[in-house]
Order: sequence, then C-alpha cells, then structure tokens
Amino acid sequence: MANSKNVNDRVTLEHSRLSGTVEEIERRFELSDAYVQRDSLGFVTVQRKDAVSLITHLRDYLGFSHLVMVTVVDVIEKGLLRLVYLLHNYSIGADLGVQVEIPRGEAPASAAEVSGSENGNGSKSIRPGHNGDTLLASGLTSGAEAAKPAYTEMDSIHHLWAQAATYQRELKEMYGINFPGSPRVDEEFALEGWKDVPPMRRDFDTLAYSESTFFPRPGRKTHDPVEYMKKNMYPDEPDGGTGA
Amino acid sequence: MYEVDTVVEPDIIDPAKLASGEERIDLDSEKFVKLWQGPNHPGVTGNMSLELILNGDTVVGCKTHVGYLHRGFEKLMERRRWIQNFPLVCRICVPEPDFNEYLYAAAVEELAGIEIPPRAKWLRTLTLEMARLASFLMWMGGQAGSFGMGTIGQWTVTHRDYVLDLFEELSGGRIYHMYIIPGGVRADLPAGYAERVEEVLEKVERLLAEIELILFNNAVFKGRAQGLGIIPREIIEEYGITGPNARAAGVARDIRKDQPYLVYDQLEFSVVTGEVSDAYNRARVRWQEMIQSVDLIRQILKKMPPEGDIHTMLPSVLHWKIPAGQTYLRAECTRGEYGYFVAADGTGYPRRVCVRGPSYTHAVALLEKLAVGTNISDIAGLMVSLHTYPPEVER
Repeated sequence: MANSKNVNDRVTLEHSRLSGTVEEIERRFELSDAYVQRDSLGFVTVQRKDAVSLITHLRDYLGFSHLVMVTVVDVIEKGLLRLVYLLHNYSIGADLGVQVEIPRGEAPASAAEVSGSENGNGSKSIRPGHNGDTLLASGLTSGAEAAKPAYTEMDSIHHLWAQAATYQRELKEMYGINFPGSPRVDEEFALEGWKDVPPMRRDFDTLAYSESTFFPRPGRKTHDPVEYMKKNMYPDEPDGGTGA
Repeated sequence: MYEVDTVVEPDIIDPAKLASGEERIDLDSEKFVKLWQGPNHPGVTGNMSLELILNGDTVVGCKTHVGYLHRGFEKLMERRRWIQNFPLVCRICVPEPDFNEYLYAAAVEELAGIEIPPRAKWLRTLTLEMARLASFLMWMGGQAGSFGMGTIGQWTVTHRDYVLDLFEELSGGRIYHMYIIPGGVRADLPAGYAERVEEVLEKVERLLAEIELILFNNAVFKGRAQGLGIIPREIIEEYGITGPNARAAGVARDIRKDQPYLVYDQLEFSVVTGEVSDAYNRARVRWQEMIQSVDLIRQILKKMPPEGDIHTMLPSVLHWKIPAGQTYLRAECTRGEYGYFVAADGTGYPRRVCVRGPSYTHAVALLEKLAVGTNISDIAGLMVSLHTYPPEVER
C-alpha cells in the first residue's frame, strides 16, 4: 500500500521488552511458537496441558497480573479453535497473548439427535424449528437450566481471575467450548433459548438461520424505476404521460 | 383509608451466616424475595437486568443478565470487508462511539503497515477527548438522577448536546460520527471551529462549578454515595478493574500516560486518583477528569499543526487485503480500558474482531459482588457509579 511500512519487521523478539519473559518461560514450558507483533505485544503458543500452568506462572512470578481478555479465533480450515489469553504486565507495559489450539470437536450426540440434518457446510445443524418443540420433546429444557451442548473443552482459569468465569461462560455459548468447573458456565449469557450451532463458529450459516427464523418483511421490493413512475404518476395514460 | 392490623417484620438474616453457608438462600422459606430490576431503568444505564434476591431491604444475591442489545457485531464484522466495518464499529457504544472508530482504524493500520499524517493524529485525539467529555456529561446526569436529582441530568444532557453540536459540525453526525477512518480522518476542522469549541468549553466549565456546589456538597448525595459500593484495592486485578473505578482506589493507571497513543505524549496532564473507591469518590474522579479533558482539548487546539494532510493516500478501499497477523490495541475511555483484538488471514475480510469493553467485568463479575449487602434503593446508584454500558458486554 502507499505510504506503508511493514510494522512487523521493525521489532524482533530479542529486542522487544518481552524478550526476558519469553526467555524465562521457554526454560520451563514447551512453546511451539513465539513472536512479537510490536515492542509491547507478543504471542506464544503452548499445548493445552501446559496452558494453565504457564498462565499461572506468568501471573504469579512474571508480573502479568491483568487478564485483558480471553477470546477465540476459529481456524476452521485446520479443524482448530485458537484460544487467546491476553495478559498485561503493568510494570513493563507489555501484553503477552498465550495461544492454545484445541480441536473444534463434533456436535454432541444429544444435540445432533435433535435434528440430524446437515447444513450447506457439512456440519450438523441442531436447529429445533421455530418453537423448539422438537428440542423440548427430546427431554432438554429451555431457559437457564438447560446445559448448553459443548463441542469441545478447555481447562478453566476462573481460580486465577474472578472475571474469567464470564469470558468462559460466553465462550461456551458462542463457540461451544466447555470449561468444566467454571462457575455458572452452563447459564445463558447474551442469547436466550439458543439451541443451534454456537453462533460465532464460522460454520454457523447466518443466512440460512435468518431465512428460516425471520419472515421476509413487506415493502422491500425492487421496482423498475421507469415502470414504477409511469404507474404511479400517470395511471390513466397508457403511454405513461410521454405522449407517444 | 384502611388500617393495617399487624406489621410483619421481615426475618432478617445475618449476611455473615449467608456468606459462611450457615444460612442458605431458599425462596420457599418466605425470608427472601426475588426481584428483577431492569432491563429498562429510570436512568442512563443501558438495557441490562439484575436478578436480585432480597432479604428485607438488603440485597443478598445478584446476577447480571445481558443480551437485550445483542446484535452480533463481532459476527457481522467477519462477513464484511475491512472498510465496510468502519461505519459499523461506532454503533457498539452509543455514548462513546469514537473509541471504537479509533481502535478499529488503528488496528487495521498496524496490520496493514499504514502510517497516518501527524495532523490526523491530533484530530483523532481531539475527537476522543470531546467524546470523553460528552460521555461523562451523560453519565453525570445518570448518576445524579439515580439519587433523585433529576435537574442535574437535564443540565448535563443539555451540555452534552452542545458537544454533539460540535461533532455534527465536524462530521455530520451527532451520535455516530464515522469520523476516524483507516488512514486518517474524514474531514478537517471547519473555519472558526476552535472558537466555537472554546465557547462550549466555557459553558461546560461553568456547569462543572455548579455541579461541585450542588452535587458534591449535597447532603443527600454525600449520605447515600459515600461508602456505597467500595471496591477494595486488593480485588482490582482479580476483577480486571480499570479506569476511574480503579483510579478512585488510588491505583494510578491511565493508558494515556502508561502507554501513550496518538499525541498524548505531547500533552501535559496528570493521572487523577482518589483514596477509597466508593460511589462518591468515583464521581469525584470523573468530575476531575472532565475538568482535565477541557484542559486537554484546549492544549490540542493550541498545539495542533495549523495545516497538513488529514488522510494517507490509499488504494481502493474495496480491494484491500490485509496481511495475515493479529494485534491488540487499547485506549483509555471514560469507563476504563477499551480494546480491540483483530486477527487478519490475508483476505479482504477480518478473521476475527473481539471488542474488550471495560463493562465486561464492571457490569457482570464486579457488580454482582458489590451488590451483595447493598440496600435495594441504592442498587441503581451503584450500577451507575460503576459506569456500566451493556452493549460493550454483549457486542
């Protein structure tokens, strides 16, 4: 692009303020990837078995006391969900994103039984229909008591930060990742009575959902402007007021 | 008229017994009442409901319910081209849309390696500080209103409208400005704009002086807000508390100072802190930050380069393909740390955009904790004193 420069080329891990941190954690944990985006932001990738230990170590010994956010990137082409735990260290003014890749998992059997249909992407849809009758008939209940189907799971960090439970509750709803033991993880967060594929997954078909859930609104028709004006302005004149 | 034969005193449970598990909340015991507050509130709080369990007048349990404003912004952004998201992001936060515009634009610029002109940085800083002032004015009305002082709300909302007039003149929009665009800003300052900004700032200063007298020296406000919802300093990090909620507890952290972005390193200001983070001191910190914001706007208008480019030359926006990578950028908004995590996969669309709003923890985990032990009549005041805004929770 014009007037552009490659930001990533400017700082290397060794010369960033995260160099000491990464050096320290590399001695204790097996990192599959480590890089910096800029001087004050880096990312490391670890296996699931090391993730909570690494995050605990970063919090307790290396000053990464602020949990900025927990988020997920759906790497659907590799069949993975990449969790990103973003931690901030106030004393060095830097963020470290701890990345953990977990399998996307399959639709749980109880949910797949509900519909058994497949959507255009080949994944099972668990949509019960407009009123949820099928779902209720299958023994699941709607509302906060119904445990949301989990496709995969990850270890919880709610014991490290109280606010992590909220992120984990949201990720279960939006991505179908269970966090066993996390407080109120089965409760609804932003959605109400949602029984479909977790909506933030990339294979959730938004168009199909909206076409099957909402009715088309009247008045949204495209008219040919010439014919439309003739009909509305000169309804009694067969030539549409042109005199032809 | 009717006579009441007997007055049934509520069976008050010792909160310590509930905390220790000696007593438990059992709605069938007739000692507790479940009450839903919201999602519509008589204050400027946004749509969010609280499921409260009461024993007498005291809240013994609280659950926050969001979702009334969920519009799936993050999902929408994955299906739109990079530039198509520019008018979308501001809608995530009504009182303070400019932080979304700035952070999204800055993240795109970092991933694409775009450098913006110096004057655009000053103009961005100007709009962010004007947005801070507008947001605080709106909040001040809500805070006073939640304690029964509706007049202050009318004053502050009127003054917010003066700031919105300035935004309208600059960008064409009052609420959603769509001014900060990847590559720079959309328009330069109109002729005589600085003078009109100064007129509004003088009005706001007079208002803040009035508020000092009528709110902070008001016996009712003092009596109800002092000691309400105290945030202990030791839970600041456990709950991820940022912004005035943390600064009122004496935690001198401000992203504008600690990790200066745009031109904040060229401005003179100090971090406002308090000693005890209760509703009164949080209001006090915000009031001081409004005065600071007025000063910052004056500094910006004085120090800004008089002329220069406001936008970088870029290729056709519809054909942008951002190189693969991911970043996180943060800014100090009125409620605390506002951040954007953006992941690109080399295509014309974002792979993932995640918005980190400060209310995510303030309105859920923190509010649920602080509400316990609070009198029911103070719940609205407590909620506003945390400056919660639900849409940034549910996105």
